[in-house]
Amino acid sequence: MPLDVLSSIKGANPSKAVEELFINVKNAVSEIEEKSEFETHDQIMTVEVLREDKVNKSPEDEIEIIKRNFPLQKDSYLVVPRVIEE
Amino acid sequence: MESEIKRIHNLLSSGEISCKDLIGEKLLLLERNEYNTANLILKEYATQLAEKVDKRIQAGKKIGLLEGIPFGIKDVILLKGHKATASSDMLKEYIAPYSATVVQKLLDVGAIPIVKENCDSFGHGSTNENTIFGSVKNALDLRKVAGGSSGGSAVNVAKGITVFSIGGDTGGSIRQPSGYNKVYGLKPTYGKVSRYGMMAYASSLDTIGPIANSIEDIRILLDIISGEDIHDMNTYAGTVLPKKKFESESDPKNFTVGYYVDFVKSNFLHPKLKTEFNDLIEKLKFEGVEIVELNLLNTDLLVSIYYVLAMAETASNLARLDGINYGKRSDSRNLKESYSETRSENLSEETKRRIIGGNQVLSHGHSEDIYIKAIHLRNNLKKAFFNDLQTVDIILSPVSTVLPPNIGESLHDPYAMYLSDIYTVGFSLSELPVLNVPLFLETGLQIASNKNQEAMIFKFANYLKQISL
Repeated sequence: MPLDVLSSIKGANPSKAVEELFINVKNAVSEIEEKSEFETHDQIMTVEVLREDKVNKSPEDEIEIIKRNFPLQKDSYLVVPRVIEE
Repeated sequence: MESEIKRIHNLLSSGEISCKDLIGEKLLLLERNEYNTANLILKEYATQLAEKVDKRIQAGKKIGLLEGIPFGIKDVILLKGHKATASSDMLKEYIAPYSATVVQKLLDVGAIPIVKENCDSFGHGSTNENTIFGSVKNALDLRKVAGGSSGGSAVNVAKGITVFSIGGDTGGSIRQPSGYNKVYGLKPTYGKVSRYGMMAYASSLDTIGPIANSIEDIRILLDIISGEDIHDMNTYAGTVLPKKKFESESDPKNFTVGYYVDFVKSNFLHPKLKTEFNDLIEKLKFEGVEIVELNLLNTDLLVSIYYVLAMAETASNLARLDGINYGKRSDSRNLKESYSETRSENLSEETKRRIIGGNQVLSHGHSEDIYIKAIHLRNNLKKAFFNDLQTVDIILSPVSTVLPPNIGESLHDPYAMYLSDIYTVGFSLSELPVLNVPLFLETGLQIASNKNQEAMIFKFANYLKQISL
């Protein structure tokens, strides 16, 4: 898929500076172990500390700010761009 | 310098100054400052909080250590009800609907936020020139850059405008500007401080930390802001760091200190910084500290590994900036066009470069060769640091390769800007705690240790401070 579509940025082209970084990694010689103790993240989450699976209602003032942040409103409706199905 | 927090606390407690006068004085400094450090000055809000503190003091109540202390917040961290712009056009009018955990903890102990601080847009930069609010100027020389991305925060602390500031560090964004402006700045162990409420740049690397004028203030602040948070699943419960513990153990024989020979031999390192670092090593040997020379594989790859992973993660994190639910929207014929117009018009060139690069490495044909390989290289790097830290207690390193460049000098050469992060990104990739101290080297010195060993870092920093006098 072209980069401008992937990034949703018009005229997106690879940067020479960034490509140099990529080439360094691509050409790097490394011993890749199948499984290393460092592959697992130290702070990986466990089931015991997961948040309770319930819906918490946001405070009213928070809801008001979220609405205020909406970029476009009309007659108390939140306006979104037209969706074209392809 | 002794603890500025304690000094001001004593002034407030004894009634020598009122909190309103203190905050008023700091707000005036902010308004008059010529360093471009402020994206938003919280004048009314801070004044109201100061009046409440004064009322408590007048009523004879004992105030907490942080109560009434003015501080700054990097403008990628949320304070409820106030703008959080990330120094970007995209979020120029965005209002934070909630406060970051770190900010809430500081509010809970009575500290007073007075400013949302200028930074590189979304943390993307090492000079604090990538901002819609104008380049932040160095506290010591107005012609020079402040460093980045937490440049506004470091300069505010250096100029005494804030007593401390809260910054973010993904690949050096607290340490490098702290070094450039001669203040202390801590990147804590990854997961020690909750990132809830900080705009995500690269989630496997992002940390929040304090910037202040003394080691003691950094210690006080870390105790307050660290700890487990249900909103950030990478956090864990911390331990209190007692002051006595690290002040009483300053015998040089207590420390085994390592440094990476390749870092110091590097042609990238400015000769002045090279000489200063070598002089420090000689001084430590003379004082009786055991010094170990270390060798890190793939030193020249550190920057590349870091940017591959950081760009991939930022491409994913910033995909949410589509102008639909919040932020600036450029309307167009349909949804996809709207996404594209919005992001093309309202993100900076550097942010776009990183998003495009990230999508490039994550795309078919590149992910195995580059992205997955960078993850393996990162794991090898973590292992190397882990092994070295079995031999030594502390690793020392310069913060930057160069002296602060003039404003405008770095913008034309992004590759050179990326390379300047070579000494900071390795510790970030390995999730290690690192403190910048404004000692011995013109642009600061990094003190790193093993995960969750901030107490060891403070102990050694105190020792360095003693021998620097």
